[in-house]
Amino acid sequence: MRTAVDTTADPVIRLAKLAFRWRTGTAAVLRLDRLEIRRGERVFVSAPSGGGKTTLLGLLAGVIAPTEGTVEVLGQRMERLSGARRDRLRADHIGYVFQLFNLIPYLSVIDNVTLPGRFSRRRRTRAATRTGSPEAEARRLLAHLDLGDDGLVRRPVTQLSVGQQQRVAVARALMGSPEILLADEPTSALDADRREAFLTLLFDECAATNLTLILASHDHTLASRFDRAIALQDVAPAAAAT
Amino acid sequence: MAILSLAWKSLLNRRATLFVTLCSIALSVALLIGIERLRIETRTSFTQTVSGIDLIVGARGGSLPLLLYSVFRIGQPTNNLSWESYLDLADHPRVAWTIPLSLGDSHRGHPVLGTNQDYFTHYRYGHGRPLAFAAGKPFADLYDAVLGAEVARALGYGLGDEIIVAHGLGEAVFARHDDKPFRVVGILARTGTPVDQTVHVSLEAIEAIHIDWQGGAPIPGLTISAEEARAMDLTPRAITAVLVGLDSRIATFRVQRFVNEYRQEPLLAILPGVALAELWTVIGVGERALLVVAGFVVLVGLFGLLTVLLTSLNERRREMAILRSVGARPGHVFALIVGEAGLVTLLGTLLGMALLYGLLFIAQPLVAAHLGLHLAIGWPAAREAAWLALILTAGLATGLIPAYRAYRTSLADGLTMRL
Amino acid sequence: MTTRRLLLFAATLLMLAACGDRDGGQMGRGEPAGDIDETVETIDWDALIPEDWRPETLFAGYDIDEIDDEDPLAQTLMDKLLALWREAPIVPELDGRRIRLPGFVVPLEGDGVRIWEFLLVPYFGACIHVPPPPANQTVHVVTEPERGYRGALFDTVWVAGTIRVVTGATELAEAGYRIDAMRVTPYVAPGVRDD
Repeated sequence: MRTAVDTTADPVIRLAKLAFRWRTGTAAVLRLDRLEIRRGERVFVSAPSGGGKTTLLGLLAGVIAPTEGTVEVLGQRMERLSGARRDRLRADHIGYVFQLFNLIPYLSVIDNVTLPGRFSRRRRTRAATRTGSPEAEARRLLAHLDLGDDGLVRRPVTQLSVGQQQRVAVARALMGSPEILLADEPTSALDADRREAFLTLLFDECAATNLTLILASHDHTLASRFDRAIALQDVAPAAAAT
Repeated sequence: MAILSLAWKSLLNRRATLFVTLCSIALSVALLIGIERLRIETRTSFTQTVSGIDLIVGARGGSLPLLLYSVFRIGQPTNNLSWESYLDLADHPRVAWTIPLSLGDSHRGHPVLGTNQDYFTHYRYGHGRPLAFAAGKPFADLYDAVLGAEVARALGYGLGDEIIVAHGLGEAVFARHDDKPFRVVGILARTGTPVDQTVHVSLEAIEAIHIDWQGGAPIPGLTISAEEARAMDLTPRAITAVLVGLDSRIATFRVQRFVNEYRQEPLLAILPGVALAELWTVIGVGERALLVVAGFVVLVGLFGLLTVLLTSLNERRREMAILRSVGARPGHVFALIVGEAGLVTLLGTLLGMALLYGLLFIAQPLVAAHLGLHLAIGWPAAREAAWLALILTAGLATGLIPAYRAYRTSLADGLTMRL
Repeated sequence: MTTRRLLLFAATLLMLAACGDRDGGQMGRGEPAGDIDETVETIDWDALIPEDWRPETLFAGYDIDEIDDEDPLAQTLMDKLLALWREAPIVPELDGRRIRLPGFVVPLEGDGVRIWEFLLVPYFGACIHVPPPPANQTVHVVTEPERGYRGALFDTVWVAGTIRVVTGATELAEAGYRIDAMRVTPYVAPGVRDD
């Protein structure tokens, strides 16, 4: 599984003439003529519901492949990679945060945070070199995200509040220092105060490791805190039926 | 390995639901392996009982009934053979030894066997082991009795105790030979065969207790005391069967032929090995039927597992998306579900075997007490191991169906969170 | 009844005698299986009977079909036949030879799964429908319990091992054969090798 991933590539992400449709003959759910994201950039992607945010993140994460155009992540042309290699690239280099229910209910908080290490030797090693062991790294990350309380860590994940769950999810996404963090509406279940605190913690962590952050949300009030905001309907020509 | 530990944790999380499935697999495994075990153990204990006997001779009839009543005390003889025929047979040049057997009486549910000293010399069990005395010695006096180990244990008899022999078989007997009590002079060491169940007395003793029973019931007014009986001619008139040892096994067919063509009386000689083989053929049909049923019970158990796994898939789509987001390939998702199925089957199998061994430990003394057969409790035999391997494989195969579905959905869903 | 039996008897004897004359008698010749080492020689049942023991000569001059059940001749012939049968001389030269012989299993000792002591006979149903084979057509096979044959009554097998001529303990006892078997394998008909 040798992928010539260029972890120093800049721009980290480069999209060109991108189109994605679920089935041939149907309308494209996403069109992007051109998008480049530089290392360490914090990018806000907004779109109305069903506007292709999740599709874009899926393409960047390599879970789906574009129908047309190119998706280049860390120097890799994703559309040319096999599914297994895209999975490998995601496992090694990308963290992902969902809108809700990020945690595997049958795993402990620590096990949830160390989960990427189960699928990526690179992230396991990087976590270990940083703090000694994946578990120690998990505790360090949790502490950074205001989840250092031992009693909290030992609780079943289903008993955590939504805000706490989202922060555990961020800790997991940051586990083993990936290059890219993708977040799909991570704050939509949080109230305003929590949302601000959450973003602050997230930005701090990103800055510390020069992480590239792409956060998709329909909540435009967040946009001001990012380096750049992209509204998908702006770049994508109106989804024309083919 | 990472996936297996995930599978394990996932199972633990759903232990309440899976416990029922686990139990049904465990029960079905216990049933299947139990039947297999009993099948082999029955055969072993039967073959342990007849050892070194070249021929069994009795009145003309079926060969299986002869085998069963003469050696295993199962069923009842229809006819006896005359003492003269017995002497003729014992005189045959190729016959090395004989053990005459006279059956039909009982003591508190235990069969009473009339025989002679040769029984203690020549009877073999467990592939060539002679009978041994735990206490005392063979009978010498007319009213001496030698007890099998289980008789002595169950009824709490010791040397010197007096026992009354009853006419006919069964626990509740109303016609007792209570005027002629026997004294226990010997107790045999445990053999794990029907010998343990048996009360042994001399052939003359059997004659003596029936001496005033000529009409099939005690003749009123004509009672012969135990001491008077001693003075009378107690040569047996008839016996039930004879166990025969030959000087060479090559002569087996010849002596068998001598018996089967005996002109004074219709007799039957059987080779115990052949009769047992016939017995296996007869009960083999039943065994196979039982095994097939047990196999289906295992299948039902696995279908239960399939149902649980399939129904859980929908609510686990989120979990699959999370796994995919942290880098799991669809193959990992597949392995997770197969691993869960495999683990449940493995646990069910282990639990089933534990259950089976528990039951065997409970059943062992009961079987010994009621059938006189010894159930050995050992490690699973090769065939059982093969069954277990087959069940585990079937369990893994069961996992393939939901695993494939999970694989497909996780490919299609990707990072879509379906709630 | 006597005639019927006599006929069966005679047929059996003739079958045995015929065995040596033609290739492929009932359990006669089989191709040596490839895995048997060179020193083992495949023999047939006829090899166990001396050349000069000719039961069929007994019937020379009689038309068995013409003999009635009630005819005293039937009984006379039967008795003669039985006497000949009982004689059953053996071939002493066989003693110690490493041989392979096919036949039917009549179990003596086993544990319900394996059979480690049995009589090997040349024709099926040896003890029920036709008279049992004479002593020189009955081989006492002994093997170690662990190497016992896994199978059932009347299975056909190849027995490979060292054949022994066993003389009886008493004067009256006829001699017979025993094979200390190295290997008992299911019988594969000649030409039907499943390799």
